[in-house]
Amino acid sequence: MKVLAIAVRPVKEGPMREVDRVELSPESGVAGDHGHSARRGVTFLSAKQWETVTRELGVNLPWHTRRANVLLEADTLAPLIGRTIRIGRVCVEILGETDPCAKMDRQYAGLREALVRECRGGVYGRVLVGGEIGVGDVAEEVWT
Amino acid sequence: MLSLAAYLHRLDPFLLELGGGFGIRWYGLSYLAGFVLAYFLIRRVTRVGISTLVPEQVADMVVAGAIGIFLGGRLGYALFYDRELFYTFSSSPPWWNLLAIHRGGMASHGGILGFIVAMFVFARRRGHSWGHLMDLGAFACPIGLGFGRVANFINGELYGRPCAPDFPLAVLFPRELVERSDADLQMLAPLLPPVPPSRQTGLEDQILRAIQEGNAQVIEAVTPLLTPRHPSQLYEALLEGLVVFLVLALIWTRPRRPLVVGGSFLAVYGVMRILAEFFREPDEGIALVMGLSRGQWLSIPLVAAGLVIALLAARRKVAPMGGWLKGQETSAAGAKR
Repeated sequence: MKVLAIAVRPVKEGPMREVDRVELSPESGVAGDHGHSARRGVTFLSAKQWETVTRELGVNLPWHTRRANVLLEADTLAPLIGRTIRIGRVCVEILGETDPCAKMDRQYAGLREALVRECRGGVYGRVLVGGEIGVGDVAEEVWT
Repeated sequence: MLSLAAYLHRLDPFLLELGGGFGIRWYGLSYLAGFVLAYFLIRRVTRVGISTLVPEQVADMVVAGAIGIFLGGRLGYALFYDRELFYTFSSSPPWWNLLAIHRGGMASHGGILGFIVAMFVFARRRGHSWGHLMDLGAFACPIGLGFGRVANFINGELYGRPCAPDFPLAVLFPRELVERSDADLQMLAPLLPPVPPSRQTGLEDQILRAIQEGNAQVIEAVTPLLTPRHPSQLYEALLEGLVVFLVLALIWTRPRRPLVVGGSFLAVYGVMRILAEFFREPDEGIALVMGLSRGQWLSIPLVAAGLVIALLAARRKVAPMGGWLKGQETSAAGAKR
């Protein structure tokens, strides 16, 4: 699974900012991201599923409309829940599905509904080991 | 002129004896040194290699592993060899015989099982890869095992097979007298110094103590009764400790898929054990089968299992982990960062 894109949310409900590289840490999650918790340090989105969602809606929306941090080249991220992935030296334990909230409909009407099934909203995880990740890096599952 | 007479083993098992069998033993210190060294080795991997552990968590892992080894080793010994320990008591501390570890009794296979269980629980609770923790443990333990063998030598136990008297490394182990010799030990009783009632022990212990303290009369009397032997504990320290560690270090210069290092440990340790046991006196009462000891026969499936585990692990499509050499963080896809 390749990292296709990275974005941070500098302020709550403000515009996303795409970056080539970003620092992740267990304490702060994604550097430059406004909101995080120990369990929800970073969020991931499947490129394939985002493509499906936008196709169903018949609209071309940038991937970070979903407000996730990392876009992965993957069909689905559901099998990763409960597992750990590593990107370079960074290790992230994937803890659950990111439930889409009503804000999604403010981005585009019907977006929330399109995201709620099949883990289309992506997954979140806690950063076990921090470090820098970049676009083009490979995310691999760690055997747990 | 250089004398080639065999060295008479006179080392004291205690660094500091407090009496009543209590004190600081070299054997206990070997465990401690092993755990301390394991801490630094694992920390090195978490600092420069790929790990789900951060360096600050290494102490937690080592403590969890040590608890597993102690509990497993002791419970395993009681379960497999001496079940009375569970329900017998004595009038002196620590009262419950299961806790009387100063009288000996740890089973290595129980310790290994205890470590595996402890790491499984630790991995589940903290979100780590169990296979990776096994690799860290396997990488860190050979030097500790080597220390344990050196402690076996200091204790004068688990000694080697007979060798030529002029063999430069030949050692006379007094424990042979009490374990294997038909000699009448009572004849040595008049030579022993009087022992205060508070330090009264068995005749065998008094003889060993007199030798350790350099009692010339006792040494003169027992030396002809002893067989020059290989210091096989030291060979084992080198082969099962240092050599196994060096091979694993070579394998883990860059990250490997979880259990590759663990499986390699079993295989390499098994091979070294088979080699070393050609010099070690087989357990008493257990005959050699086709020239091989029980330890050697048990090591053969260990080697096979280790190879199978390592080969299967290497084929899994999961992220390579670990590595102790800086700048070798290679992903399965071959991308080097």
